[in-house]
Amino acid sequence: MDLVDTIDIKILSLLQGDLPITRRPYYRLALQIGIPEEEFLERIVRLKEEGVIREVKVVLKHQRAGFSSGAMVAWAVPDASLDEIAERIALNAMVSHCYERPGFGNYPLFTMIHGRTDTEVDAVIQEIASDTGIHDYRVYRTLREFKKTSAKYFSEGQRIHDK
Amino acid sequence: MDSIDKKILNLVNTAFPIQQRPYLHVARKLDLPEDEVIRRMDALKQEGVIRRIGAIIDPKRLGWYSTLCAAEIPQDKIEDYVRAVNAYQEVTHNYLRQGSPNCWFTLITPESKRAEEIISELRTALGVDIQNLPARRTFKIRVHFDLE
Repeated sequence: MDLVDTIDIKILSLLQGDLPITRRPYYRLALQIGIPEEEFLERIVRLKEEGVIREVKVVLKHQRAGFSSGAMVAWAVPDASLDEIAERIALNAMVSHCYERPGFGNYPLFTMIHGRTDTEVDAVIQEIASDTGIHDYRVYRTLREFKKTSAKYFSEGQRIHDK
Repeated sequence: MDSIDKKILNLVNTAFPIQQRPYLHVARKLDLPEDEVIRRMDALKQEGVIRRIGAIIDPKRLGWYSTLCAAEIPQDKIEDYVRAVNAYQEVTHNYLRQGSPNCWFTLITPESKRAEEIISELRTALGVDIQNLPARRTFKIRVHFDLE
């Protein structure tokens, strides 16, 4: 694939893991693959510009961070207004994910909502319903997390598949 | 977690600086010593508030396939379900949810063929239907928790 070369793959395979909590974390990782820190940083910036890396960030365990309630909500949005309503819902700060997923009956628009309490999440759902006029929706509150990991796109020394 | 911890997390769970001294960069914004930011983040990692620090990669940009799957699993079969589904490294998230269907998991695979293979293996192993609901369009992915 043209987007990433072998050095990029080494960088991505390190960054899909965990950055060390030390003064110069990128320097330490750059040493591991034998390139200058400056190049390591430049490549991350480029991969971000190209959209391969969406974000470099601290991922929180949201239950531990006080956000213990979550719900997936599927909305019955008519095709004709799907774009407009999806973009409107996406503006809500409490909505982390918003996708069109065809094939789930009359409910093509999927959102993920997080909050401190069930009441807070319910209030956001009500707010979206009255804001968009979509009162037909299904709430799938999170009851238990069986698994949550990051995808492993690269293992050490492995090349990504050729498309 | 005190108010300083929350200020730090609010900054870095939006974006972690891509700079030689990222912790110093955070420290300056909050008028704190760099070592204090490092010490606090280290503690938050130990406590499990911080899951990891790293890149969020876009599977689609790499040509990978990702999807959401749903299944209705009877209460007495949940354990079998969890064991079977979690065994696949391609499964990244798996949740029990209120309502029907009650079980939802996500798959990320290099090609759609592999995802279809896994779904079909699980259908056979568990004897239930599994809905495959890949996204046609993504309107938003932004996981940010406002802690303050």
